[in-house]
Amino acid sequence: MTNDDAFLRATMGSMDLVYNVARRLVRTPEDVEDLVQETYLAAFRAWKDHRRPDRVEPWLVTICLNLGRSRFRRLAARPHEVELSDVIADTRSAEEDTERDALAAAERSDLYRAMWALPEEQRLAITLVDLWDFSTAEAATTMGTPRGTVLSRLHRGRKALALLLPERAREVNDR
Amino acid sequence: MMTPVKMRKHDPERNAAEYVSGELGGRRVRRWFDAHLLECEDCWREVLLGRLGRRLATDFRESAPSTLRDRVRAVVALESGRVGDRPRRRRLPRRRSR
Repeated sequence: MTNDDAFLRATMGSMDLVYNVARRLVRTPEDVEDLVQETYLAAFRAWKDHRRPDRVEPWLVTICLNLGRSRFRRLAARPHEVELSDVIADTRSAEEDTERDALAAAERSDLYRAMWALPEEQRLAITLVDLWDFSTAEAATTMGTPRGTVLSRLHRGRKALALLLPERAREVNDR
Repeated sequence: MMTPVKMRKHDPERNAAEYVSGELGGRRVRRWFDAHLLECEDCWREVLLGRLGRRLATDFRESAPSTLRDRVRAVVALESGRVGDRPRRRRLPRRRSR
């Protein structure tokens, strides 16, 4: 097996995770894709130099966070520019654009806006722990902060989401 | 038996964060906290909001577009120098001149 085959085999299963992390760091779909690509490229260069991780997911997330913070921070600081079309963007074809899909997209859009209203560190803590089942200790190592800080960010982020989306919170509570 | 005060410092935010994440100590501590929630309005409110926020957040998991997967594969292949490589031709044996 060649170097790149081995790398892709080890890392492609984590692409959804890297994509979700990138989505919390930069805003436009183009920037998100660029950041994911840069992450994989940097990871592959390290892989070729025999710097291989024990666990792939935290490694990729760390690379993505470092790249995102250094290279894309300026872009992320731009004024809020979230359009509904950004949210439903590229994964849906015109044929799928039924009324139900549009409603679902609108709901997701509310959530997307609420997520972007949170500070970056809270978004990331929620992404790693609630969406990808990192333990708070793993998230702390990945984010380079003490576990207590992660717990605090996580809880404040969760609370803020619940308070920003009272209607949705009520629906979720009734399920 | 330990008193509730000794079992856990009263820190509604931290306790709720660990409880909702399923990381609040051992079974004994969790049982104590379950009982504590029945009498502490502050902790109950934090747990409730934390649970709601967590459930909302989990709805927001997205899949990477397939075009991005293709793009990453292409970039990695390019970086590895495999793109543009042609398979080597086998050398044919020379013909014997008669």
